[in-house]
Amino acid sequence: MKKILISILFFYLLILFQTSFLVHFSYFFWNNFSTPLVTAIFLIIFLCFFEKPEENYGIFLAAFTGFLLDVFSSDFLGVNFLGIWVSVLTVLSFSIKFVLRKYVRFSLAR
Amino acid sequence: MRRTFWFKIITITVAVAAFFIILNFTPLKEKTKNFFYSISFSLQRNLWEAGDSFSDFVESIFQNKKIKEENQELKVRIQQLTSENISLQKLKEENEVLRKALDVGLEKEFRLSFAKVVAKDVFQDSILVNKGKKDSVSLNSPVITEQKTLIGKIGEVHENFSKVILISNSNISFDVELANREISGLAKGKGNLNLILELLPWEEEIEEGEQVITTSLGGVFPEGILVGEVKNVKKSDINPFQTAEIKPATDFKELENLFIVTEF
Repeated sequence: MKKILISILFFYLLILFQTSFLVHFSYFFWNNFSTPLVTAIFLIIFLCFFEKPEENYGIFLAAFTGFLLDVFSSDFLGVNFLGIWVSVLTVLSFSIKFVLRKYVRFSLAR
Repeated sequence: MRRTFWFKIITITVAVAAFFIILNFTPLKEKTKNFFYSISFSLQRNLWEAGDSFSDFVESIFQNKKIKEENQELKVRIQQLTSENISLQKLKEENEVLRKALDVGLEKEFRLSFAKVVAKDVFQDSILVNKGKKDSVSLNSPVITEQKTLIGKIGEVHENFSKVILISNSNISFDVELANREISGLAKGKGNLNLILELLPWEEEIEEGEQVITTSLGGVFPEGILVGEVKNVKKSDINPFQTAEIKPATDFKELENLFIVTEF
């Protein structure tokens, strides 16, 4: 639970950092798709490396992060609808969980 | 067991979808956004200011080379424009001189060639102008100003330049008369930008300030061109003629634009 709260705070700060700080660097590499892309990459890293495959906190984290993205992004492909990024990130986290549970095995160190 | 799982999933999905539909189509959407913006405002503002200054700094580093190039280009452009401006200024001055000449009606009386002074030799009473053989300038052609005052005559003709011998040159003498009076005399250069008037009839009363103009005698200069005005008239009993000095109508030191009379 502590891990998930810290993660929520991390993603909240990450989105604020991207939408308020990194947007100034648009002439180098930052554009409208950078914020959701970076957030999704961090989410995938979290789901793959910081959570066991059988745990489900990551899905809630994905939903909340998606919600924050919806709030702080102006629109997605011209659609201004709260819930778009929630759906995208939740489906993404489900898919990762599915792949991890079904097809990935971790070997235990002897 | 499996059916229960899928039932749960579908129920949650429908509930979440319903929640977001209600959220989006009611004022709750704005209130939700407003709540998150309120709690994030101070942090966002600080991040925004920091990002703004930092990006300016980074941009200045990356664009330094570009700015230098742009600066160089602008310097060249300024030089070009300055030089263009100077030549336009000169053209304007030339235009004004030509306009004055037109006002005096010089072009009706003579065939003229406009010339600019490129060098002055006041000690030898001569000047160099930028017109030569190429511009149909010939030896002994009279040289006047736009105000129709006499300057001198062409003494040397080169391909692109000519030397003008000023009327104050000690090698020049020509026939003149006093304006509006049929009193003739001989103007002679004395050097050092000075002119004297000789052979004035003894019996005539000549006053200072009377205008001296050229005559057609001698055929060197066209008649009626202003030479200057009389000053320091000298009359003595032992000399059969009066003499005087001529104050040239033009300040030779200030000459810049001239007209060479190619035909009269």
